[in-house]
Amino acid sequence: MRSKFLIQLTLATLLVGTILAPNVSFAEREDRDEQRDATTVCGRFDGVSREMLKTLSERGDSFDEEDKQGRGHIENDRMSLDSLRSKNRIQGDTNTERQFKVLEKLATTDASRAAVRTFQSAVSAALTTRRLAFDRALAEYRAGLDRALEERKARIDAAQTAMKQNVESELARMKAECSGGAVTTETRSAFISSLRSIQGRFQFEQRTIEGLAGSLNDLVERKQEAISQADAALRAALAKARSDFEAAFVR
Amino acid sequence: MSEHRHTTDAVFERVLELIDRGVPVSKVLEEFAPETHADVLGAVAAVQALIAEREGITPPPGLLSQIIENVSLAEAATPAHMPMRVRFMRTLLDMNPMVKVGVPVVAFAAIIFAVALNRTGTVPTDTRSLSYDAGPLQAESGAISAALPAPESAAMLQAPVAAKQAALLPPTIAPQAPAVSAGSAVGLVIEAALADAAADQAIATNDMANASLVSGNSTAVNNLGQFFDPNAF
Repeated sequence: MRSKFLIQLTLATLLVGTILAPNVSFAEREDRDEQRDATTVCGRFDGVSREMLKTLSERGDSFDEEDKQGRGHIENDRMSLDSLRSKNRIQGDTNTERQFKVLEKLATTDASRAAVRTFQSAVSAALTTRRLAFDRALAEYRAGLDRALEERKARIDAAQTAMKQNVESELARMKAECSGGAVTTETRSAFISSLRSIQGRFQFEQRTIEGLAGSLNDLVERKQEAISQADAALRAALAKARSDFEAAFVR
Repeated sequence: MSEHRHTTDAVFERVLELIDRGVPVSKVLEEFAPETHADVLGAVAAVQALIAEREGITPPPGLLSQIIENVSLAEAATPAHMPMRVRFMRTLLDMNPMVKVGVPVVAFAAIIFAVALNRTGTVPTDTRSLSYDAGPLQAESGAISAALPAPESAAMLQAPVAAKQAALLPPTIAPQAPAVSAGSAVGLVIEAALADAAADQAIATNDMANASLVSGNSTAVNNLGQFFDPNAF
């Protein structure tokens, strides 16, 4: 009884497999493709190769467009952020000046006025130092990102050019075979294999290039480290300025 | 009776009942799991000897060994001991005629259907129709994002630019009212300086949002590598 059930289960599995396997696997399609009559390759060669080169060209354009748009976004973002940074700093300076004026009014003795001036100088110096450090860190980060983008673009362009040249060369070779009229199944298989190899080389190169993104980690860390150090220095300078002021200020 | 000592009483009783009703040995065996067939065959031999004894048949010399031999032949022909291909064919022959006809018909129809589906393949102009493996790229991108220090990490590299902008717009520094004492004036000066630093930090965080351009998620680059469909030739 059990063996009968097993056999029926096997039959059912085979049936389902027959339906699904060709649709989920390119391998089946490729096998069938290998068996196609070699002469049909030449029959459809011109049309297919023209379409392939067109596709390559269009996708190259799409990449250029994506790169251009991406850089455009980056530039726009930087301009917006720089504008916001300026606005924030103007407002920050206004706030600080307003409180400095309050302190000046409250300083009625020479010692107090001296304490206020010292406090103002210390705070202003600390603010300026931090801002300069921040601006330098951000500029270095941006320059590093720009270099990474340039390198990526250049390497993808180079990989793309090499791929296109190899494809064109392979197509020309196959066209000559077709003109010679000596196309066999083996010729066709070798042609397809060459194209696959070209495709594989590009995809390998692509992964290597996209791996450049890892270099951003260093950029981000360096920027963050510089900003953190500048912030820590600011806090220390402010604490000292406050302490000195409280010790020196007499109403 | 010694032949059934090695089997259980329940098996023996059931075998006795079946043999007594004239059920063939092969059918008797079908009632039991394959691993018990050796025991069942022992029981069958014992039962047949018992019946002969009960009916007053004096077993001629060699009858018992004949029975055992017959049982051995039957054993050799049971499904549990047949080669797989024989069992397969026997199962096919034992099947309901509807199943026998239906399975090949459905299988044939499925093959025709599958072939017809595959005939529709054309040169892809959009790689969304190709099932290339994006897993490694996504994994790599994920690893890069995960490696970035907080707070400027994964979310910024993955989210669309507009969403990032909306989520991370740096705070604008609010105007302060004049202080009423020296102490509060000093406190507000320090607060303003720290707010200035915090606003810059937010800007630095937001500034890296578009680094996603080099984070390995480029659709255009993926498409570049998908120019070729071997079925086109």
